[in-house]
Amino acid sequence: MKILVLIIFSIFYYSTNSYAFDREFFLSAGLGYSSASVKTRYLEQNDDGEIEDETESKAFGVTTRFGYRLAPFEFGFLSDIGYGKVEDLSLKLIDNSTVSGDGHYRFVAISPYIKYLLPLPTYYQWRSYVGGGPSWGLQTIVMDNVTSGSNFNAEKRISFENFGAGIFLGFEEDLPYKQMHPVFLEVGVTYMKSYKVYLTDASNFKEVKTLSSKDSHDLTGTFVFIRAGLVLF
Amino acid sequence: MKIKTKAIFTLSGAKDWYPWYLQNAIVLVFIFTCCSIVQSAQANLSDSSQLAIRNEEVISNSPVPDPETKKRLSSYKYQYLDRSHKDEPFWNWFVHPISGSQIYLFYRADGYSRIEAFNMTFITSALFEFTIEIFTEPASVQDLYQTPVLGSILGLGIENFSMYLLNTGNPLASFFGHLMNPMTMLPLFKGKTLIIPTTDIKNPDNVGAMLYTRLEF
Repeated sequence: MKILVLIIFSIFYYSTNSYAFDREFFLSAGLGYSSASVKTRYLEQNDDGEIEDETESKAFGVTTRFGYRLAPFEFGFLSDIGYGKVEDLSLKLIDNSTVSGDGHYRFVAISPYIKYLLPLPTYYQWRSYVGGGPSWGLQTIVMDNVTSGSNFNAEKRISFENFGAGIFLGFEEDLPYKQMHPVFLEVGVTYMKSYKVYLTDASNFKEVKTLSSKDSHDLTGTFVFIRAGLVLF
Repeated sequence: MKIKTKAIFTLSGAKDWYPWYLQNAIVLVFIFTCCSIVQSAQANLSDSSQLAIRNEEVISNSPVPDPETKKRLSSYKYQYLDRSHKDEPFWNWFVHPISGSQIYLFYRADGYSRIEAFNMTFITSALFEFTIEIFTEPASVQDLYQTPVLGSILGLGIENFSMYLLNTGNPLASFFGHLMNPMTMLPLFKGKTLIIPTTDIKNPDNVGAMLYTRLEF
């Protein structure tokens, strides 16, 4: 019993006496990697003649976040920007015409989040945390090399607006000042579902025109994020 | 002991920023309220073409919107806050970060610390989105976030590199330093020089003490 009390006391002692920085705004940035598993009736993967309604893709990009630290909590917004490639894609457009080819996609996701620094002892200046929040995203698919289909080309693209929620778990460096640029490393999972789909014309790069749009609840995706970065200031 | 000094260009964070937060917040609320009144009056009085000015879908499909569409178009969310912009890389990843970086550098030149300059950039960007840009399209969540965040990160890089160039003493490098960071040419550029005590260890007369100061930047 005494040992148990000692352990509990130690946990709370360590958890309340060594926060990296407290009651401060901060801005951090880093690199991100995401693996997406997307399922939709608009996006079909053509694999040896078999048409599937689920595809996977990997993307690299940057992650940013700003927030306010009120230990042991942290409130703020985080953003993921990614760029990835897709191969052998069959894409069913809004007007039900189908195109095939290779391409790439990019996405931006913005999430208000709340983070909780776990009441666990730090390990070599590393503190663990969990967090989560709702997430809004915009995914755009560009077909670079259209092998078959209608007059869809690289200047046209299809965009999905998604909404969902995500959680993350990570470690951050427990340094006394944010000016010492604490580093963080985390893994997150976000589930999103589309609510709108656009077909756009980007032939004029300064002004993207919406050719058609409609409500859509057909795209669902699970994104696994790996983020690493540091507090800039 | 002699202490030599070395003057370098730097941006300091010595400005008292809280009154400016309050002032900007009041201005934001005031302008936003005025715009709300104007836009609401416009929505009530205008014909279908004015209502549909921002809605390509309505223009192309139904020149005369039905009452439900009209109600949706004049709604608060439609008029003032869109959840997204179209994916426009030129604006989202080029123009907005650059404009955000210049706002950040303006506040840095005016004496704000980095995080305070970022916060002011956030407020200034929000002011622009809700007052100026609203006449062409609704403010978007994407721009509200990316302009200050990416702008401040880009501004931090520009600031560091321009300070490096300005401190080389080379006229050509100084020219490019000012060109990259034009806010350093404004009279606002306070704290132009920072006096840093140094010791000359090669001269034994000067060795013996080190002055340590910590600055908030």
